Amino acid sequence: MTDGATGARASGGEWLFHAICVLVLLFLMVPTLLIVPMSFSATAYLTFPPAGFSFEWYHTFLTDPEWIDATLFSLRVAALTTLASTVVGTMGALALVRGRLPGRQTIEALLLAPLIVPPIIVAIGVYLQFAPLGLTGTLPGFVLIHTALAVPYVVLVVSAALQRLPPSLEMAGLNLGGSRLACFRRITLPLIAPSILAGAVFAFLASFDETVVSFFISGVEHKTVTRKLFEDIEFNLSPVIAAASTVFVVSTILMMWLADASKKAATQ
Amino acid sequence: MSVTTVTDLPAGPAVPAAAPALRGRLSLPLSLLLVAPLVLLLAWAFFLPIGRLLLTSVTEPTLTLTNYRRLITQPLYAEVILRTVWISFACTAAALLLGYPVAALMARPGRVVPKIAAVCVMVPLWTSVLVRSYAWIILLDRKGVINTLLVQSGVIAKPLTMLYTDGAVLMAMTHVLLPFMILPIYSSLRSLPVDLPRAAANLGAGRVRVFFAVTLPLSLPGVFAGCLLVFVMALGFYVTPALLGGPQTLMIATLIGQQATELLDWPFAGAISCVLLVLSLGMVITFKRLLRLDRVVAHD
Amino acid sequence: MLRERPAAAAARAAAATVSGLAVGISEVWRRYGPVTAVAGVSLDVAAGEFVSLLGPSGSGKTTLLMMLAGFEQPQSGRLTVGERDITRVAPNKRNVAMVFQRYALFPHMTVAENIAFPLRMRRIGRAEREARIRRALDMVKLEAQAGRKPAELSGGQQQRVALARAIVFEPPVILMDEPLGALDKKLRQHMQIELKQLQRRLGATVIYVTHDQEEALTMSDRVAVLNHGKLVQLGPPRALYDQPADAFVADFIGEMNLLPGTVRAMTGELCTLAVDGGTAVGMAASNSDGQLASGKPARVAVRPEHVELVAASGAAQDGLPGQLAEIVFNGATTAMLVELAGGTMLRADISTRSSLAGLHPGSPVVASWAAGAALVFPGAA
Repeated sequence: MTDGATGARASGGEWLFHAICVLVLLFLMVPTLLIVPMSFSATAYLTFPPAGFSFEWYHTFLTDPEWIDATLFSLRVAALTTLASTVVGTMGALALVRGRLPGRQTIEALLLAPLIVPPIIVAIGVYLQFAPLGLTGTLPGFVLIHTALAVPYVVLVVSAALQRLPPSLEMAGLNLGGSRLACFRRITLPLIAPSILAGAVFAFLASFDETVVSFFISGVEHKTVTRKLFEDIEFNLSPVIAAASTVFVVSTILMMWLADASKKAATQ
Repeated sequence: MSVTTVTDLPAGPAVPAAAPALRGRLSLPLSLLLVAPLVLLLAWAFFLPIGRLLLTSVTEPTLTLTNYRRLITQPLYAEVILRTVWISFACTAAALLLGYPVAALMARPGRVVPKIAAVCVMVPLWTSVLVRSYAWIILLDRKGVINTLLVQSGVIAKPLTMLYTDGAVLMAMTHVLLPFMILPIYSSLRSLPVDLPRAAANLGAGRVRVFFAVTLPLSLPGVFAGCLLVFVMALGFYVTPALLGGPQTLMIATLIGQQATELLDWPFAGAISCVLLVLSLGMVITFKRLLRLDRVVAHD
Repeated sequence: MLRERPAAAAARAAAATVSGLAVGISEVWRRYGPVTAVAGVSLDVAAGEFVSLLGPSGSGKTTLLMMLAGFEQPQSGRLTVGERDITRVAPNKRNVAMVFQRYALFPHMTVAENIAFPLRMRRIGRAEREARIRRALDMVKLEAQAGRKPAELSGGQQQRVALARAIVFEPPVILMDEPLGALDKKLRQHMQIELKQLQRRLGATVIYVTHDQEEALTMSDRVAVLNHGKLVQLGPPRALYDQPADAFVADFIGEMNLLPGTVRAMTGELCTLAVDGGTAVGMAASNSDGQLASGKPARVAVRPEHVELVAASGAAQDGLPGQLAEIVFNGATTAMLVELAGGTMLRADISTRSSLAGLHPGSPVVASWAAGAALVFPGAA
């Protein structure tokens, strides 16, 4: 392929550029990939290179009730958060892009706040608000705050899709005799569906990965897997953490890849 | 039902008023109905808690500014704030230097190399901050990967203490935040028409001149957005400093956590939160136009 | 506006000193996997000449231009400017100006800064630079816009800035990649004339890529028609119009009726064919090399303005009988669409003034033409 200046042979500058890029990409990837060999280690403490090979830590992760409970709780929170934020976010995006709203710009600006305000501030504030109401460490409490944190992603992604959609399509639908509702259901919704799905994936990951708020509002009984990970990293550095992390990373990548593939399939 | 159909539209002279409806606009009541859950949720679960936290800093136990006085008069706290700003700044600078070449690589034409680079950027982004911080513990621990390798190869005799230092926090934070620098720069480089660098080359500019005269200036919006994003996120970062930092490397966020959970001093935690919020929001509002969060999130 | 201004005369005198330079393209090939973009094209352009590369999309014209600019590499062949071989020269060392399709003006620089760019790259001193910028701006009539950013200009003005930026460093050759493609029709026609005048005044050598055959015919000294990466025909516009080398060129340039048929007889160069509904005549195309034997498939090509129509009288008439299907008023001419007996459509352009009174859709007509006005190409469609 051409790269803008084919005439020149790979010069010294070009060589340096590639060397820097390789180093930075290694810097990005190596720490992330390191957990994989660690998770198959045969020893209970950290050594490098890992001594021996075993599935012991995966076995522990899949049988230890504490890990199972935390994982299942996180999955429940994330699933409900995804549902809530997708519905609330899509409705909001429709109103913001296609509606007649006073103070639309204010709402749009405030929507970015959950992405900007440091999570520690949200965590402490939410703890103060939720504790007296008995919402800390409960499913509804987690879903409420996670939805608030995840919904901006959905609104942003769906609004972008709605803005890209030429209004002439819906006008054509109306012109051909469809009602507003029918046009939305048969024209707009199918066209923005891939973006809604992408928003849903973001929301799921935002909830499942959410660490700081979950850390502060987790209870003894109901804790998220991020809280469990946090505790274990702080107090006993066991290779179970690596096994659990590997499982999560691989699932995340699979999810993103699936979402991406479905989005591509939908746009082609 | 407030859904308007074509037949409902007024005919004749009322056309100007009907025009927006024709262009697919929803009516006001329907718009309000659709946006209400969003607004209520954010107001109650997000803005109200933060507002109350900030309020406690001046109302507990009575209407007072003691918490802020304490923040100003005790040098420890000023030191924490300065350290946070310094680490955030260093982290931003490091991310910019490391991230720009990768963004440029990703924006090049071709199939294989840019794709590999994109995967190397996205995979860490999709990996939990906890996991990545944990990976740095494995790397930097006294019995960790780097020490083991260095001792075995005879470079050093005794393992180095790398964990729980400012350096460890800075390195891991740069690693965690690097994708947020790369993606906006990549996005602005991608939207740069390939004809522009070509035109510069055609008019006689060599590679270096093309970069400094055309590519770099036109990618500055992405650079600013990336710097702002990384700086603001670094200011409020909790997980990595909490796990990799020692008692000597408190940052603002970990200080807030400590005040709230260990010392149960909520009003003072509120006061520090207020400082952090002013710093973060101040930065964002000042440079608002440069921050295109939607570009980072909707990377398609 | 045709009279030259003193500045223009001076520019022309300056340009005369660079004449003798020309562009040479010889046996250039470029393949992308299984696709051959440019298949052994050879083409020489004389100094001061305006040559268009004309062809449908995918014909290789843009690839060829990109090779001249150095943004693509030929896999074999040679490119020269004057005496200099530029085949392997870096784009920024070629000294060959290019006007991009979307202008590629640097959005962060003013008009003057954009035009100054090539001069700065050539380390031309400040005084000389300013003078040249002023001259270039004067030539494209944009003196008043010097301090503006490209985004503040109209499409036509941006086009002129792109031109000024290309001519300001007095390159021996200017490449243009569909530079008027983004303008609306009226402005495009205006800019065609302006561009042509500027080229003549400067005596510049221009290689111009376009897919618009009218534009190519209007502006060029010679036109190179490309199809599937091959140079199909090279010649002055009139030659292409009157003597197309093959059926593709015949069809691509101007309006053309192409009637499929079978050769009946050859009398010297005169070919008689059996076509839909009757017999047609035409001259064998120059490169048909005996492929037009009796019984072989062929096509007769005749321009609509050469087709004559008369109302069918019932008596035996020479020509092809048909039915008038449609009358399309085009201003100076009127297009008569005739459906021949077998269903093939034939177009005849009749001067609107010599209106064929009494003819209306449905009228039976007979179409004919002089044998010398039609060409016969071998092969089926």
